[in-house]
Amino acid sequence: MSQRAKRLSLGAMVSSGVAAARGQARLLVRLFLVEVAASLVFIGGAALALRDRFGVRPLFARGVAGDDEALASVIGAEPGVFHSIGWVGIAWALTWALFSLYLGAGLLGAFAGRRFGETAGQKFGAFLRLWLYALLPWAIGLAVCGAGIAAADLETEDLLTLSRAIGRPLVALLPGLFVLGILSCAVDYARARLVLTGGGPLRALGFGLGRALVRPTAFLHVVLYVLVWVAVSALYVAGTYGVAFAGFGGALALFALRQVVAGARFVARSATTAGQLRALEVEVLEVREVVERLEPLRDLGEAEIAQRVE
Amino acid sequence: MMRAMRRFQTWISVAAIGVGVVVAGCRPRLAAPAPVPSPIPDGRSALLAGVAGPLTARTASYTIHVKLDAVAHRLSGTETLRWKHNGNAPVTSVPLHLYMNAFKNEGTVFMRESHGHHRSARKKADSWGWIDLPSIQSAGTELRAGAHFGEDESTIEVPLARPVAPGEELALDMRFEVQLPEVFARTGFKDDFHMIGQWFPKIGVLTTTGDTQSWHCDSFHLNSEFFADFGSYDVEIDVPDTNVVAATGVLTGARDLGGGRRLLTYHADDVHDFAWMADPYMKVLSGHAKSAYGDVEVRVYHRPGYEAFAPRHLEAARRTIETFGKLFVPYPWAIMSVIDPPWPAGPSAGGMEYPTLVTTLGDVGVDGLHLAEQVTVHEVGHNWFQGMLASNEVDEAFLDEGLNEYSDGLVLDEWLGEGTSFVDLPGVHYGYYESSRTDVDSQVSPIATLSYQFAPGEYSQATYGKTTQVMRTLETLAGHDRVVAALGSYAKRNAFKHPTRADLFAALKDGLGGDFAWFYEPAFLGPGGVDFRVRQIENQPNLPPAGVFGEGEARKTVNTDEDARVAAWHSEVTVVNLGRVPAAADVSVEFADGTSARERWDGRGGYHTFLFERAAVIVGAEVDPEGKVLLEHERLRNGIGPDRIGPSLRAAARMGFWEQTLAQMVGL
Repeated sequence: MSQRAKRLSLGAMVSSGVAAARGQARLLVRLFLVEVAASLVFIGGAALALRDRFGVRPLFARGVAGDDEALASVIGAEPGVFHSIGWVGIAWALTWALFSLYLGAGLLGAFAGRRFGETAGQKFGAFLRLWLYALLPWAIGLAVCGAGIAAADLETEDLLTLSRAIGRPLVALLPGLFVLGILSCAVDYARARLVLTGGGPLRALGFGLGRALVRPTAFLHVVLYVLVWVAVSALYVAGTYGVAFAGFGGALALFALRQVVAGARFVARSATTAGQLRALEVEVLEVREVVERLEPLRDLGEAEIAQRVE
Repeated sequence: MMRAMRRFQTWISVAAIGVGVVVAGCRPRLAAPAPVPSPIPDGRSALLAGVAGPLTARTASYTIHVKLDAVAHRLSGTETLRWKHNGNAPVTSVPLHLYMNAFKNEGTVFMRESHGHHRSARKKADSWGWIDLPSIQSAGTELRAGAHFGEDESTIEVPLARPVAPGEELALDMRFEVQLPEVFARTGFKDDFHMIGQWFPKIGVLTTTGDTQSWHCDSFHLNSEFFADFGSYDVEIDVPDTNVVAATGVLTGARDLGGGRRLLTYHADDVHDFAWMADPYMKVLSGHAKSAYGDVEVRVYHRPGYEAFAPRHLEAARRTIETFGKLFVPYPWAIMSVIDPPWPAGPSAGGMEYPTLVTTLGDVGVDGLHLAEQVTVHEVGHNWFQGMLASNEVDEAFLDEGLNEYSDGLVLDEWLGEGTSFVDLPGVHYGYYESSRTDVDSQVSPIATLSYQFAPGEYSQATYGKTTQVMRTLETLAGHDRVVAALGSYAKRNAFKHPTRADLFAALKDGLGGDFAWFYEPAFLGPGGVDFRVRQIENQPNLPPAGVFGEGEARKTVNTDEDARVAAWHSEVTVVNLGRVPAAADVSVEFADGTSARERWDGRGGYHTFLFERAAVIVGAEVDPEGKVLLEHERLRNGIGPDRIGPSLRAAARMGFWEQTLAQMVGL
């Protein structure tokens, strides 16, 4: 009985996550297409708004085609249009976040071998409450970020070198980012636990926090995902920075490239979720095994159990 | 135990990464100030060897001895002012500037107008600056008791013991004590850094127009800079031997006084101000620029950590001296010093011009962002526009700030490229002139407004931006070369004088090869700018007119043949200028068959209708499609064309990707 519970290593979490994601490839494609569709709805709305305002203006066409001075003139002339589209974009993303509670529950269910729709429907309420409970810790994390920036006393002198210009704010944000990272990890595990074992979201959040704080592997797994996300995004920026992507074909190629980037990030996120679920699953299964082994002992007296254990 | 150990090691690794980031983001620290080697005198005259004789009448010359207390940030000095009366009537009193008193309390004109803000800097609440003038003597007679301050203590009127007749020279001996403020509005200290400008009692300017003469000695206003007579300066500066010093003119002597003090002597000729800097950490990067009068030594003073920017400032200064020297008048002084203040002092001390010494700004560690070059070119350029062309900055600030700002673009565009002279980053390009396009439509103050009478927030936009826009727009009318030549003529005629707008207009009238006063007079003297629009596009089939023609027997009715194929179209494009300044521009017209036409509108009359007889209808038109008329702020409505969804879709797709990225961060 002194044997330790099984735990997945970081590598095992990654590989099992990737394998699980591969196993649910069709579902992931469908979910990603939903995400793309949501984005296309936004794009359509924004395009109509822009056309309404600028459709007949040659300056706008030139600005979009790469004339930075023309684009600056357009934005300077009608900043309200761009602000409005920006706010709608933020609202749209938050709506997607809420919808994701349903989709995310279903995806976790699928990774756990259950039916997507069934789990999504069952767990949406718990996920929503978990999201609401997590708002306070998120706010605390953001407050720590703000406090870090305030404490760093950033000055214009910090613009002297790029490394300082980036390094100092990063230093200032480090404690806050750490808190947010831990919280992100905790929410992920709380969701996995809600799907695997049920229970209340508050308790699940507590469990997730404990796990994120006690198990550095769990935290590093999330950090790894963030690094992949940043790397994919950086590759996109490096590959497209300064490239014209002119004409209709260019625009289409750019859109496709962006979706490849978004898809890669989506897959990374899904694989991370699957890895987290797998890590938890191993422990839950192990607990179940122990319970099953102990089942025959249920009706025995204490002395007899002790004797058998020995 | 092993598991706990591994967990501990993992967290240690995370912490180590954090520490690494912290170290990378730390600011470097400076060592305590230590004595620096005594500087070697420059060993050359203040004016370049090729300059023949004095360039000015040297109306106001100063001999000053000043001692810097670097701990208390205080100056103690004596000064002898020798002023030549070049007017036409006796003078019974003289006004002096005591600029430092502008920072004495919240009741001064400067502080009331600024509310403690200047540019992006804020005055430190408990750090006041002032100048005491306990003694003013003329030929041994003490005049201080009879002197009285002006609107505030930034000027003082000194009644003389006896009138000074025209042609006579007045000598005033003064003692003064200055408390420097923590650096604000160009002058003061920041820790060990001292930038010392507008620090000594300085006489106003007596000008003569016809039979009348008048003094110009305005209070120190928020938006007004300076106006002074040319002269010679002999200045002894007593500083701690830990300080590197840069000053107007040339260093003629350096002597260690003992006790950690050093006496440095400077001399300058044909300048109208004297400024200096003292700092224990400054390094110097030297180079040379060519002037028609000889070789100019260019020095960039910078602190450790700023080395990467020194060559950029040096090159900017060199190019300005050489380009302005060719276009306007040659640089006549032996040295040009560029001070790169440490950043904490930068917003206040940086970006200021003095004769042969300027302070710069804009050290941002992003290659392709040409802020540093822009500021240095501008400040060095001021050695022409105000340094040599010593216009009244209080009354006509555009003559120095605006004309200089325009001329800076001549250097920057040639050096860094027309479309990339402001920003040249991969995928983002912006030209210097385009960056000066300001919202002239919303300004109510003309460019030619007294600097302290601009409507709030308009001084900079009108003085710097709009003047540049006017000059640049003038290029579209008269041609780039003619405008530059006319400005060169203005410079040559008025160098080392006090030119006014009348001198500028005269040079433009003579040099542009035509009368363009219809444009530049309302542009300089009136508010607003240019606002082009395409008012209307009309397409009519070019068919024989229908109706009843003739009378009696000859009456004939011609009906429109609805089915006739239209072989030609009669089309009209009407363009208007809703702005208050007239301007000419190109008009591009686009036809349905893919052809295009380009016309020129002379800008007279407020609107014009262009007529076309073509096989295809007009589908679009645009006034000034290249945006050459810089005096127009809002270009969006200059053109109208076919309604196209493509550009909107492309822009929306970019926004959509940002939205999708945000969605991925907060969802699933």
